[in-house]
Amino acid sequence: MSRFEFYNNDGLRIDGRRSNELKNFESSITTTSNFANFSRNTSTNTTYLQMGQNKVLVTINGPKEPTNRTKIDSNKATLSTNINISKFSKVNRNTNKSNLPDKQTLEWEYEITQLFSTIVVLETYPKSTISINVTVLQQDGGVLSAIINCITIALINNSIQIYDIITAVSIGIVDQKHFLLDLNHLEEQFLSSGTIATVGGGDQVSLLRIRDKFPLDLIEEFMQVGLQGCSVLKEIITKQVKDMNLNKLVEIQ
Amino acid sequence: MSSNTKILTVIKHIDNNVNITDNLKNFNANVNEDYDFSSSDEEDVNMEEKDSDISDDEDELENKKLINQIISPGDLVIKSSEYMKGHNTYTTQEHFEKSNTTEDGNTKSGEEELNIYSSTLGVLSKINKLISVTNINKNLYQAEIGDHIIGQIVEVTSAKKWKLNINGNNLATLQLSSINLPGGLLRRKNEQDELNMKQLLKVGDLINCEVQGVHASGNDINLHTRSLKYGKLRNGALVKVKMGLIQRKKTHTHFFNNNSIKIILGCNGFIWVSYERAPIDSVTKDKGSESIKTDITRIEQDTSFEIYSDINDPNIDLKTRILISKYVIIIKILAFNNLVINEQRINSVYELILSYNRNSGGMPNNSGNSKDVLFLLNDPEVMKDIGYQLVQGEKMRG
Amino acid sequence: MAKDLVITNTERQFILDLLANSQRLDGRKSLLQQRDLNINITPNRYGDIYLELKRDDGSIATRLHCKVTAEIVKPKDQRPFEGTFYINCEFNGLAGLNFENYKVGNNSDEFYYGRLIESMILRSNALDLEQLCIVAGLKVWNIRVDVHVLEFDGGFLELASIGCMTALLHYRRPDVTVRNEKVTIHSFDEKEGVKLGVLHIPIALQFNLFPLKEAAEIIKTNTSSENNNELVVLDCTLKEDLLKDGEFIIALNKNREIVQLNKPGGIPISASKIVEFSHMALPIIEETTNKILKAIDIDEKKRNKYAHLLSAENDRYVE
Repeated sequence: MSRFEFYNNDGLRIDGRRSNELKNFESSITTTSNFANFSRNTSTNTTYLQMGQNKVLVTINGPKEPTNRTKIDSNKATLSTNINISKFSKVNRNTNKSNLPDKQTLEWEYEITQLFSTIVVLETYPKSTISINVTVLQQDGGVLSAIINCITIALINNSIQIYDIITAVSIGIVDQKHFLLDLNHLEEQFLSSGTIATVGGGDQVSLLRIRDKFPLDLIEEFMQVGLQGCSVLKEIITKQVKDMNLNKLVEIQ
Repeated sequence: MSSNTKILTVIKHIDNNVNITDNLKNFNANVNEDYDFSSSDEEDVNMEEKDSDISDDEDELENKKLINQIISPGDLVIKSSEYMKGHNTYTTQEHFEKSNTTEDGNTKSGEEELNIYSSTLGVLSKINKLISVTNINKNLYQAEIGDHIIGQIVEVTSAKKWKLNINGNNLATLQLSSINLPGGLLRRKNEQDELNMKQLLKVGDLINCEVQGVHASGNDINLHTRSLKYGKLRNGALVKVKMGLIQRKKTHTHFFNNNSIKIILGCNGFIWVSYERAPIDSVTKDKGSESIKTDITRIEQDTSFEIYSDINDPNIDLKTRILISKYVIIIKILAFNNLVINEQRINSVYELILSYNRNSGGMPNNSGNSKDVLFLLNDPEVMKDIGYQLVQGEKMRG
Repeated sequence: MAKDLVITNTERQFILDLLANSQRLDGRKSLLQQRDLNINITPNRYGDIYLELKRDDGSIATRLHCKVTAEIVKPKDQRPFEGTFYINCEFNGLAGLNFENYKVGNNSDEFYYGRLIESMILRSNALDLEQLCIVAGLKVWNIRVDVHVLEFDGGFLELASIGCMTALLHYRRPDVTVRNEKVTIHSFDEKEGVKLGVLHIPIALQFNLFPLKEAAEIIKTNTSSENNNELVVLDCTLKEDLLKDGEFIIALNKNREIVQLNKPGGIPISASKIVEFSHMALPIIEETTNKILKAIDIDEKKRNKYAHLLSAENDRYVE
């Protein structure tokens, strides 16, 4: 079926990972030079995530009073997402001349807004807005999952109350039987793939997105692979977030 | 931990779960972990032992202990019906029916238990029966009555109010009735004043004020400036620092450098550095009954349109300006090093800067010109160094 | 969808209570019961479909119009051998007082559903685009489906997907002949129209989720405890639609293939439930597919009423 060999006899993939191995996951806080503005830790943090070769930058603005009066909800905060996929992020430069986002990005915005509206404890921030700004600097397959993970970390870093950590991971299927976790660019292009996001590393699925033809009978295994990936990722994220904020703990005590 | 070991742990995790044949319903990856008050996770300690073959640093062990104290969002803080939930937590209720049935004949079936979870990254704080989580990243100002803060006017509304940005999640309101109108305390406000609102305070003005009231669980904040020490700010520069670097104290207004520099440490992370001669009596005398008396008479005298003037004092010369920017940099240095900003520290950093000036004699472009020195201090390396020296100095003194 | 429609608190509570007792406001007896679907194919035209959802009392709840049009355009530079396909979903003043004209935001549900159906058809190759090529790189067919909502009381996604697929199955484009790069389009009088290459029939089904508990409790549920966190409702009415908190969309075809599986946020549900629903969707979708095929078959027979008179075929007798 496949023109490419997605993994060799040793069970290693093109980029040297095993079939159910995650990409390298590195996240850090405040990479933009907020230095000019007063201090290393200003009120708005930037969160940077490198998941494999995906490079995502998230800033969160708010909670603050909305400039647009019609958007005020007196009971809870409103959430808005804005994703900017930079034109140089792919191998081929995006030739789309207009600066408007393409339809896929708009779909992602819709999905992410819906996703985090239930995860953020919106009731604690009445009459305010929280806007999430995402910049994708480089993409390498599974961008949606990288964005979701990065937003989760950014929400924690900005101390916005959330019910639980959300982790997302992309999954592909080879030859109708093997599953690959956390796809790279090539794999995503040639395989049927999907993205799954779970809450708190458990088996509560919060977002699911399969846009390719996919055999119905394999859905159960698909979920299992995804859930395991997510639960591992949750531990990694928890650990990294704690490491990242360690220096601030010292100063509290 | 280096990235390599991280990947290894990932592989280890996954290899445990290679067999993916069991039914989904049995999948139970995440068993709720009780948060341990004594903060000693055995597993993590074991992990640490494996890692510590390479690096036996005590610092790292210390860090490990600290990390175990941090609660991440979604962690179970405590499972009990006795405690109450405080800030940054949420609860779920759980019905227990199986609890006492086995041992005793009398069953307590309808028992409810409260699970308190954390909703932020922070450290546990327990006051009697109130469980709350203190944020590690304090970004937004949470107002308390009596806080001395600095706010920026964002909007002049039609309803006799100003809206101020005070670094909180909502804008605070300053009512026309809670400011000192020009012309003395006893003056009644008239309709003309409503029309003149924009003349008194415009959009973009900085106001030095106090929190009068907090309503709707911290989302509706009222301010007032009904004292001579509050009012519009002039002749200086604003520095915004992270929340948590300024602690609530008795006084937030400090004078430095022979009482020529006035620094207001707003509780909301806004700091105002300005040139102002301290009134001699307020510095020399302690607060007593006499000074209050004089205050009232002074209010009547001084409350004129002048306090709402926009024009900076033309008498400030270049030297004072440099002095102001020097203090701005001092605050930046403290903020950069995540050190709590107070009067004492500002003074000691000022001294450090003077000595640093002498130490860096080997630097190329150092001709003793104070401008160059200021530029030099903006370097993050230098800032780090000064912060380090300050902490060392404080440790020496104890 | 309808922005200005605000449901009063008492009504909200009433509807949710009804649902908790497996009752519906419009008289349906089960949460999984769908309303009756009527497929009307306009005679004498190709690819002109009216779809109706009927309530129990016979009144029309939702009515949709799907129309396929084809025109010859220049293909996209990246894909010179493929025709183009576009779906235009419109919710406008026709549908009711609560719908505004020309105000389809990018973050609205309509946009999302429209995109979903488009990618359902395109990404799964349900419509063979290569058959639409006339002259490579110069002239291809552009197939466009216009979906208009004429009356609306919920069930947009299912109806739109059914309507699009029926219209595409039914539509015939005019035949063309190419001679020396000169393209002649034949009218239907001259030559019989050509059917579009529909390779399989994906149909979307939307499971609407209604939480039974607070969000915190749902997020923190143990996997082991087998308690119900949410109600799953098929074919929501408009009022139910406004009250729902999360959805789960699956598009399947008869060949046991998932074409789309989407859960855009909302309250989380357990993975085993998703698997359960996916399997539950299959018989429903098979039934709908048969309905579509039957409707087209009946229409075909009507059109070819006199075909047997003109036919030179002999009747074949099977012994």
